[in-house]
Order: sequence, then C-alpha cells, then structure tokens
Amino acid sequence: MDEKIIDIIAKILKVSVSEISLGTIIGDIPEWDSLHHVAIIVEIERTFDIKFKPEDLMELEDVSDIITLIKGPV
Amino acid sequence: MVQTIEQKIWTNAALFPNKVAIKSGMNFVTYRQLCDYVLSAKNHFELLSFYKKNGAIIIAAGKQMGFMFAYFGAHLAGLTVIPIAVETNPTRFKLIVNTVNPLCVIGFEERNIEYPSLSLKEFEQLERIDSSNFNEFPPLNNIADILFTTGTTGVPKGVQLTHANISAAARNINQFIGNAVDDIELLSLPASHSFGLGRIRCCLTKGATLILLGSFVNVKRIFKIIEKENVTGFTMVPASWNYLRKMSGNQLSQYANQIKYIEMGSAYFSSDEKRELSSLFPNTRVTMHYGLTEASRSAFMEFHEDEAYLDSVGKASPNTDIQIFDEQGNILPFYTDGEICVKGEHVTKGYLNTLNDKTFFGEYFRTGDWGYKNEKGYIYLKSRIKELINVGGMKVSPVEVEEILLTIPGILDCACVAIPDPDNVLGEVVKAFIVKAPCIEIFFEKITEELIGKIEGYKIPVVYALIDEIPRTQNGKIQRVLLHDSDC
Repeated sequence: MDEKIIDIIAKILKVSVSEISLGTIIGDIPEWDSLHHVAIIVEIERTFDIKFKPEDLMELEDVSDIITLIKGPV
Repeated sequence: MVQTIEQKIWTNAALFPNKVAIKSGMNFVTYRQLCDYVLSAKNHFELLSFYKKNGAIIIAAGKQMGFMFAYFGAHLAGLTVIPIAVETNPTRFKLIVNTVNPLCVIGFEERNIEYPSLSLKEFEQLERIDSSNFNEFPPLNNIADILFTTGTTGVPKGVQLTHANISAAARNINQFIGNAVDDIELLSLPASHSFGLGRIRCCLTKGATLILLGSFVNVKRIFKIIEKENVTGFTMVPASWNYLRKMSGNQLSQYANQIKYIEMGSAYFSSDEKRELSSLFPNTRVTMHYGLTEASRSAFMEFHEDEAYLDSVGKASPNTDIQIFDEQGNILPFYTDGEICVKGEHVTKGYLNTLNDKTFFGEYFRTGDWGYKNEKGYIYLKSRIKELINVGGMKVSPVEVEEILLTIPGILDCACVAIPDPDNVLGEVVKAFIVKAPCIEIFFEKITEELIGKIEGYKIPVVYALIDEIPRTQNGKIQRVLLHDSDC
C-alpha cells in the first residue's frame, strides 16, 4: 500500500517517485501546493474507496501520516 | 491627490518606527527597518553597471523579504517592475523577457538567461542604510509595475500601472474594507498576481502588520499562525475557502470574533456560498471584489450589508465610477445589458506596446465583461466576453493550452473549454476536445505526460474527450459555446 500511495502522490505532483519518501513533509516540495494536495486526497479517497474526516486531514503533516490514516479506516 | 506607496510606508516608519511591518516565519522587519532595507536596495540598483533610470526589471514575485526590498527599492530607483511567478513556464517567460527587454532578471538564477541575473537573497543580505531623512519618491505618473495578464489569444498582455494607479487602488480598497493600523493580516495569496500584490500595498500603506505564509497547504499551520499572531484579517480566493472546508470543515469560524475582515476575489463564488461564509462570520466584514489587473477592485460588496444583492458583483468601489456602455460607446440606462466600463485613478493607462484605441471609451476602461447595473448601483455580471478559464483563481488561456496540444504527434485539432471542477474545489478546470489522426491510438495519460514541464500544472486538462471535428465559424474561430453544451 505504501508504494501505491507514493505512486499516487508522485503522479499528481508530476515528480519522480524517488522524490517522495515516508518522511516527505506536505508542502516541502514546491509542487505540493494546496491545489495538488486536494487532488492527492481526492485520488486516495477514490482509489481506496474511503472518505476522510476534515479533523483527520488537518492533522496530516507528512507522507507517513497519510499512510497511517488510510490504514486506519481500510 | 494620492501619494506613492513608498511615501506612505515612509510616513508610517516616522509614526511608528518599531512596529512590525512584515513577518515571515521567525524573521520580521519593523517599519523603520523595512525603509532602511528598501533604501539599500535602491542604492544597490543604482550602483549596478547596467542601471538605467526608467528601465525595466523582472522579479520573481514571492513571499520573501528579498522580494519586498527589491520591489520597493526598484521603484525608488526609478525602475519599472515586472513581477512574475517563479514557476512561469519557459514560453511565457521568454515572451515577457523579449517584450520588456529588462535591465536584469531577479530570482531566476536557475534559468539560462541572456540578461544579467540577480538573486533575491542578495537583497536580504544588504547592509541597512538609515532611511529617516530620505524623501525622494518617484513621480506619480511614472510606470511602477507592468503586470502580464493571460490574454485570450494566448499572448500575454502587459498592463501598465503608474504609481498613482497602484496607490489609488490601495486607498480605495482600504476605504471599503475599513482597514486600520492595528490590523494583522495573513497573506497566503501569490505575490505575482494583482490580488496578492494589492494586499501587500494595502497593509503597508495603512501601517498594518503583514504575516507572509509561504504555502496554504498546511491548514494546521495556518490555524496556529492565526492564533499565535492574533491575525485580524484574511484574504482568500474561492478555491482557498473550498480547500479549508475540505481540510478542516468549519474550523476557521472558531476565530470569527478575532477576524475583523475577509477579502475574497478572483473567481466566481455563488450566493449560497456567500451566505454560508457570512453566517459563519457574523461580526466580520466579509467582502468580495470584482476587478481586473487593469482596474483593480473596481466593485465591492460586503456579504452582510449587501445580503439582498449577493448575486451581483457589488457596487462601484470608493472613488470609482462604473457605467454600462453599448458597442458604440454610449452609456446605457439601468437594467440594460452592455459592456461594463470603469473610471477611476486606479485604472491602467493602457497596455504596453499597444495602440489602446479599443481599450477605453473616453475615460472609461472597457473590461470586456458583459452585464447591467440596477438603480442602486449594483453591477450584475452576465457573461465574460473573454473566454479565459478560471482554475482556482488562476487564469488559463485556452489558446495557450491548444497551441501546446497541437505540437503532440497524432493530435490534428483541439479546443479547450472550462468545465466545473468534478471535485468541486477549483471552480473551473480545463477540458480538452481532441481530434486525433486516423489509425492512431491516443492515450490521454500520455498527452498529460507530454504537457508536463511545457505548461504550468493548473493549465493541464483534467478531462479529455475525443471529437470528430472542432466546431468553427466561417472565419475559423472555435465555437466554444457549442463545446460547452456538448455531452462528449
């Protein structure tokens, strides 16, 4: 699952997969702006057929947080 | 008579030298320090071997201290500033550079440029010069900035703004919103666009404190800053609000008693959305502007006061007149559709290197927008004569995207239109209709890959459709209306 999420993030940000790691902080790379962040969240929700709660989304700080959040409701 | 933005900042430095003017992360400058650094930047420009008074410079407009010092310092040195986004695509960048022939380019060190190149960092590292006795400000009628808009033809148009224009706009905005010296504003908008750049000028001319937020992406951080810095003002495009809603629900409204004003703008915001926002902020001045780079914030509304007219774009801003004209240049009566035209000290003197014979009706700037005015002065926008696509407040020329698409092998013809964002965040996104060559398979994902790096990400089509033929007029002009109505 980790790889799939990293793939989604890299695809939406249009960067190489190698640029994304579990420790990549949201907003740390220039391409990761609010517009792309929404696109990532929507694509993850679509792919895993889940719906995040706003209060959970607010707590996300890095890629590992996103993965942990998905592993919860899945 | 207005004073230049810089003169007002100097007055504020004399009144409250130790007040924080700009804060960015852990760094801040007081009004006196800001003036000192701006004066250093002025001297730095004047000592450069290629310096020429009234020349133009291109600056990567970001929310760094270096940009602020270089921007205002250039004005004091008698230079015209062309602020553009650091991520400007290579084609647009080249077009702008070739159009203005700048003395130098600042903040684009990584690009291979034929012009002298400076970094924004070097403006942050200059020694401060005591600015308390300085009083040589640029003439009001000199061109302060040239902002390049997205022309419908895909060729950027340079909007010339004098010092008087930008200062009058700041005065009008502050007057309508009711900005005050004790305001603390969080700026998350890009500094390369009229909205964000205007906010910088509004805050600093009023003597308020401006908090620069590099990215809007981390909502938790935004809320922390609002709390810690006791932020009283906030500016958003509708996409920012949609983003905050998606990421945090209604949590911004927990600061409703703290936030004195909100300014919205740059894209369509429905009456229901306006009503919802105003109900979450019952005691806040929740404002929205209508305007263009050429005539910044020409109309305003306040969601509580103008509750009965939320489907309009508000009334003419202070010191501004808006009239509706017919195609022959006659003023039309109330409730009659025509072109929305604007008069005021904030209105551009015209486009760069253009005859401008069709830019004005007398003293009124022709917005290219179609609508009417009621007897109370509310302006109703019915359609845009222009065909720009508004992606989260960023304007996209369909022609620019089409030109790039046509360079991809296998694409014979294409047309781009705006569609509502399927994810309901950006307002509009780009949809591309593609006519492919016979016997060739076209993969939309491959098209997207081809576009990456050639145009900015927000310009890349989100939805594609294959079509047999692009509908065109006899003159060959794409009939986008038919594509809007299409179910493809």
